[in-house]
Amino acid sequence: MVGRMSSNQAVRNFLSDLEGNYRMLSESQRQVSTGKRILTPSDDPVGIAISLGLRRDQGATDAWGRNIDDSLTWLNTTDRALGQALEIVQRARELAVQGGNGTLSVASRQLIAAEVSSLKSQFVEVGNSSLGGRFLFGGTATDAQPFDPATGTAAAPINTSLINREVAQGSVISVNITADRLQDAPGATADIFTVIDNLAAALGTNDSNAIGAALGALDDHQDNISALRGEGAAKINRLELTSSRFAAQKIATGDQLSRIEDADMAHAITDLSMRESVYKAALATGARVIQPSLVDFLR
Amino acid sequence: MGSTFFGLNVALTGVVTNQRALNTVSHNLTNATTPGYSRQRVDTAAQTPFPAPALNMPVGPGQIGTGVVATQHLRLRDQFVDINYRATASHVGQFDARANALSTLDTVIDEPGDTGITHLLSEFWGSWQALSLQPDSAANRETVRHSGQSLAQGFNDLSGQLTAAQTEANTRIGLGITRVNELAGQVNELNRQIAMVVAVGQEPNDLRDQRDLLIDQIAGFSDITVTEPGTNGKVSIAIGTQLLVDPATDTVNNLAISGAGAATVGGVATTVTSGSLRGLVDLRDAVLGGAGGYIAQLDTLAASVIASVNARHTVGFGLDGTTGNAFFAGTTAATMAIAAPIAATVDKIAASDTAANLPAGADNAIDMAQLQFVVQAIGASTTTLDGFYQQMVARIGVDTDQASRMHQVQTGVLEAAQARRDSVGGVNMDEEMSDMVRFQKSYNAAARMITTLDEMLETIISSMGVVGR
Repeated sequence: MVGRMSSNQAVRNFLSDLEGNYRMLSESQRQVSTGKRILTPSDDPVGIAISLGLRRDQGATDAWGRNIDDSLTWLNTTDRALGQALEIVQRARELAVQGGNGTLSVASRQLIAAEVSSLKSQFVEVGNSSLGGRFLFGGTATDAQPFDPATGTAAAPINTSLINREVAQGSVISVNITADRLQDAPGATADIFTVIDNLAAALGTNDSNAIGAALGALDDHQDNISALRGEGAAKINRLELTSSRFAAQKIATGDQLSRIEDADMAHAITDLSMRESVYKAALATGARVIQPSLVDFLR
Repeated sequence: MGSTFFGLNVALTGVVTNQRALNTVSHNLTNATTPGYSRQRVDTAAQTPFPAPALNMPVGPGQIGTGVVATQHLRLRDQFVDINYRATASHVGQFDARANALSTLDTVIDEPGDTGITHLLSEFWGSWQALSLQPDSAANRETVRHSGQSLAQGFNDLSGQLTAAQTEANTRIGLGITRVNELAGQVNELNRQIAMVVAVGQEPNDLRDQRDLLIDQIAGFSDITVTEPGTNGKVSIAIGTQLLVDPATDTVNNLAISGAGAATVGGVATTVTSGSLRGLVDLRDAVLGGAGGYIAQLDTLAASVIASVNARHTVGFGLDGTTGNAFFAGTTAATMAIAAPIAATVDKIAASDTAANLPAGADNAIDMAQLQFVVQAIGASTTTLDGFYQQMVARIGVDTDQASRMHQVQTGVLEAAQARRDSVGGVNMDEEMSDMVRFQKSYNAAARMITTLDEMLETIISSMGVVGR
């Protein structure tokens, strides 16, 4: 300051400098105690826009992650059910081959026919598999059994709607196999229940032509169920890939968010101690400079 | 030849003048911390010497001094610094009002935070995602309704905060106007008192200080032009082109600011370009209110959220098979709420896209969750719902940051002006103490002179002419 200094001015300068120091000190303190660099939008208006976008992405990714987990559970349970269905079809095929042997006695064939018939109700049971009280093959009518245990046929009308999940932005996949795809094989003319019924009847009458036809149809169904399992496996594969991609992405997003929002602790703490010592020095100077004047020395 | 008592008179002027100077030192010291006080000084000069030139002047070797006289009491003040100080005070007032209100908003919007709209929106979309996994789950439906309620509540609260800030700005405008008119009345009164003192040829230093302090205060509210048109000591204060204090008629023309922000002085339109009133009017009518203000922006966003959520919701089917139900009611941020049917039963929440796909059909819930990434026209921008709010948050951040920076800068300038003012008119204790000692010594010396003269007179009166007694 060039020129005269008044007593008030010295005090005012000191106070304004001290206030500036104190503001910086409390800013450092806040950064250290919260660990955050951005606490309000004005702390970094550009950073906040990026940070809010990242937070939204994080929220969405978390939701997709949950969707994937749920879809995987659904797909795996379906796969297990399909595996059981496949075993049933294979057993029916074995029995058909066994029963087609002309040397068997009538009584033995009748026994085989009876086992074939029981396979049908086993298949219905598999078709009525559920997950958390929801029927896997019921389409969107998850609250009703897709196959009627009394008649051993699909409940009409068959609900062929897909259950969809969003597993990534704009990527929707269906996780369910509907009853029609389980019971009807693309090449076969008859559904699995009819085929089993026909086989049982053919075994009863020892109609080798019909048994042969049933064998062919069972092959078609075996292929169909295998294909369905393959379809599910491909989806599981894809979801697991997406899931691990999300896991990596989550780390990257968290990292980026932390770089924008979080305080650099080493830096913040250094600043804090530096500012603290400046503040203390200012206080000490103030105590020395403000107090004395000529008043204290005149006698 | 001068009178015998000539010397006594000379010494007396020394006593009287130094006493006056000492009193002024005392006045300075006692007012050292008085706001608006300018230090005073007694200007002294040697009195007219004797004899005065005339035809019949006494003959002598030259004129002899007749002592000291106080010529005037001077108030040390720089009028140019005052002009600078007041202009800066107006700017400080303007950005102070703005920065204060904005920094409050900056905190209440809670971004980044867990009660901010960004988080609530994210939770809302997330709840639809969760619903898409188990559309028939009552718990998931409850979560959707709850997060919808929180979102609506978040909009209501923020809208309430913004409106409250606007109302507060409006109240403070009213109070500010009242204060300006009061201060103008006091300036007008001081004008009259000052004129009376000036009329008798004296300087009303302390009254002037008081008046300057009042004018400084007015400058905080509005930018003003202060002039001293005549020699009678009165000042005029103008806001824009109109006189607030008119010294010609000794009247105050009251300031008024309409609800639309138009300023008038004495009923004539004028402009307030800075000062806290300008800051508050900007805040009320442009930052918070007005077509591009925060309140309008938040309403635009709320309307978009309501409209786009409802558009998807009405085409879906609730668990009870009903369709065409709106999810949100209301049209603005303040009136946003969960629609009555949804509030009554969560089965109305439409997760399925067709009645046939009930109860596990979730395509509508998936569509709803995807809404967060849909780029649409919102107000003047084309962006996502979240994106629009992010823009708004960034704008509040920029506005707050800018206002507090400007406030800091202008406060720095004001401090510099204050320092310049202090450097001219502030009291320095050391200086006053040394003056005190100086004047005291002078006073003592003059008094001593009187004693000496007294002794001389004593010599003449008592000791002379006693020869031979």
